[in-house]
Amino acid sequence: MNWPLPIRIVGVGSSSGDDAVGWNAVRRLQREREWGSEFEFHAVEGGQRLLDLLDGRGSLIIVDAFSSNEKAGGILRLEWPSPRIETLHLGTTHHVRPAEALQLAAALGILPATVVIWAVAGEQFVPQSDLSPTVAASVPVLVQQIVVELDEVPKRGVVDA
Amino acid sequence: MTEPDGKQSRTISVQALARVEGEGALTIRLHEGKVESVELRIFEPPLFYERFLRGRSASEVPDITARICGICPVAYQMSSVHAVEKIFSVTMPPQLRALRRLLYCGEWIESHVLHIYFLHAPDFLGYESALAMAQAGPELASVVRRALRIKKAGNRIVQVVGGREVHPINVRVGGFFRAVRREELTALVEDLKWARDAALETVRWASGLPFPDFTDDYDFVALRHPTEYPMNEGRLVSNRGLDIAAEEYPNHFEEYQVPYSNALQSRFRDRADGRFFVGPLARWNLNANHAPELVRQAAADTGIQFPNRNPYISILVRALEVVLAFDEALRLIEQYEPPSKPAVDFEPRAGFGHAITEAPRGILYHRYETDAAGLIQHATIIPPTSQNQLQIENDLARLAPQLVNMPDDAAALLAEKVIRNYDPCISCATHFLKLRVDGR
Repeated sequence: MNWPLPIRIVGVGSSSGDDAVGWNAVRRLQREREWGSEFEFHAVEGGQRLLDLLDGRGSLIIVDAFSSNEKAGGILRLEWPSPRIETLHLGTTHHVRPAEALQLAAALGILPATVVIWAVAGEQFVPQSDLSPTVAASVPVLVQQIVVELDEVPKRGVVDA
Repeated sequence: MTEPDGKQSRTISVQALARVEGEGALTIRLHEGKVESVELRIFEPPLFYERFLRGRSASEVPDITARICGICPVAYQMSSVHAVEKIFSVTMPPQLRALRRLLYCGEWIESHVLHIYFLHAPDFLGYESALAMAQAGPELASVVRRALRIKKAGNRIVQVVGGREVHPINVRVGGFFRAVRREELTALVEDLKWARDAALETVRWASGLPFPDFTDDYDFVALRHPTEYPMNEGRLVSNRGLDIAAEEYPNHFEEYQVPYSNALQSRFRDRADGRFFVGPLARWNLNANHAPELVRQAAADTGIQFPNRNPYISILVRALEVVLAFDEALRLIEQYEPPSKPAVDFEPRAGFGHAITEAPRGILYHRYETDAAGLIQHATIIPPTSQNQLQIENDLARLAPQLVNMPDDAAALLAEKVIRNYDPCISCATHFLKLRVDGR
């Protein structure tokens, strides 16, 4: 897997309950270490803001919540393109869903070559509420999994866009 | 799905619409082909915020209210900060006033471009979404790509002046936390010039859309400033003679609870049925003479008659206001003189303050009461969507006779199109609108 630069790591979500897991995880990831300038960290509210970040360059890592019957706190890693991304109920509270934004970016030719999505199963999406304890407990696990993946970037050979 | 059958009982339930901000539910009750009631049910977070603000320092208000909406945070900052500054008798120096107007230009651009291209244009062109538009062919893909670039130019204004693109953090009571340097603004100019030209192209493009005639006898309400197109200041006026200061707003408008909605609805006391229309069409109808010549000419070139009472024309007016915002931004940047300090001093005091500013979707009213220490004792926030709610319901009631004889999907789509003329911003948890038409 190639990781063209820059690598944009984007938490998608809101402040509504488990929908905040993307923001929460990316903030925590950013604090994990001193990242080089090739890594960018963003927190956006929905697919529309995600689109604003895309210009066809580099790599994209998205962290977002999804709602399903699966156990809350469960973590999925998906690579674009994948039919699972479209059926996954990502971004439950965003008016333009991340999957739609990625499809639109692909249609417009501005989707990065490498797109990885980390999705966390949420259980409560109530405005003004905090992360549920189960989802909050999954955040450190998720962050470490992303760190491990990014640790391997140089070994796999970073390719400039 | 139940097919329509004239006077027979009928229930249509539809879950749809990913092109309205937030969560809402619509129920239309029909009896023998006639409308019994229309209920637009929405959920408004500002209710929580009004309570949440109590006991907080007035200096926190702009940052807290910016969190109400991810699409129009600047509007919340502007109405709140102006209301608080009235209490503390703060007079804004011209440079800081200009920066606030510039910040608002950025938000109008972001919000309007999002709505024009991504939420509303698919209605007129017969596509399910902006994605479907982009996939339809290279010409429309190019249109959507242009939209993204125009919007990014607006994002940059908000980022530079407001401190970041989403929920800006640079606004404070008395001015800004940091005054923007001239070179930060001049770095935007080339992109803004391109975007202004692209926005003019958007006006030409939008003027060619097929506008259904849905003209009605509306009461348009907007701010009016003596010399400029209104954003942050002005008296509240209407096409039927309303002319009041922000402080008089509660005398002419009231909020009330309807049993089917979490949101309060607004009512215009001066009109028997209470409905009124806020937003770009109202602004333009009441203020077009204060638009720059470039924008007025663009409006004239469309061949559309103004003032205009057809809500479908709102998409075109948004396009005109995007040109206006870019033109205004360029003028403000050209004339910008960095202030000697980013904010003026003030002393907290007890009092009341009202302010109305023009959010992208229409007037946004804020009222605060503070104690002697400057702590918020009471807050009232009335967003434009609450003010338009009664008007939207009336439009849907006018539409309902057409819905009776339409299949479910078509009925839902038509109702949603009418709602989208108002670009309702229901910033809350989810984005589905559930339409239910009950007949008996």
